[in-house]
Amino acid sequence: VVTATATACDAIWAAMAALVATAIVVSHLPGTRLARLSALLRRARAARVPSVVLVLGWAWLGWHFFAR
Amino acid sequence: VAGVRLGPPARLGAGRAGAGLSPTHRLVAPAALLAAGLSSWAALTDPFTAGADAVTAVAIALCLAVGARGWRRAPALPDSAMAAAPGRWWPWAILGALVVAFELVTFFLGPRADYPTLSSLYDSAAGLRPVKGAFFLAWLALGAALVRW
Repeated sequence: VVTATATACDAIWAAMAALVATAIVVSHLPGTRLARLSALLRRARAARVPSVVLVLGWAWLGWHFFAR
Repeated sequence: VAGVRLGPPARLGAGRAGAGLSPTHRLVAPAALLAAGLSSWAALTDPFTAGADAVTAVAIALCLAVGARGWRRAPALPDSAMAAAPGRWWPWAILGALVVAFELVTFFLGPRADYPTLSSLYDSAAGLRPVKGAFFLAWLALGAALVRW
């Protein structure tokens, strides 16, 4: 049974996904002032500590979703 | 086949696989094959099993090994590029904060059936093996990008 609360939560998640997708598209438009995610990641990767944090976060994400 | 007109003769040596490619580019095809194999393996596993642990650990170990190789290299961007702002970053921070906040709200409010978290949404989607394989492949691609940038 799908409750109204669950439907509302699903709608909010969907809205957030749409927002992220829109931001990605906007960041690729010519003349936009919104940074691209790839540029932000590349900038973070240029320093050691953010690099390690990003890779550890990635590893945790995989372990959480696929293993445990 | 008679009647079929062939194109100009191929250049000498052009048929050799990988000729003229950099060592990095030569690794693309084997890496893609490896990623496809790992993703297929992951798609066939179930969480909380030795198989799931193994395939995830192998993927993490591979990416960490690649990352460790580049550890001693100079930063990917020169200082001038670092100083240059890539654009507005705060909308991304707001979006990330919104996602984290709602994840925490749903996590603590609880039962998953009423308050689905990202993990429970993923679990529902990953019930389909191909979808799980696609998620794993996307995760691998992100890891490869992180250790190569």
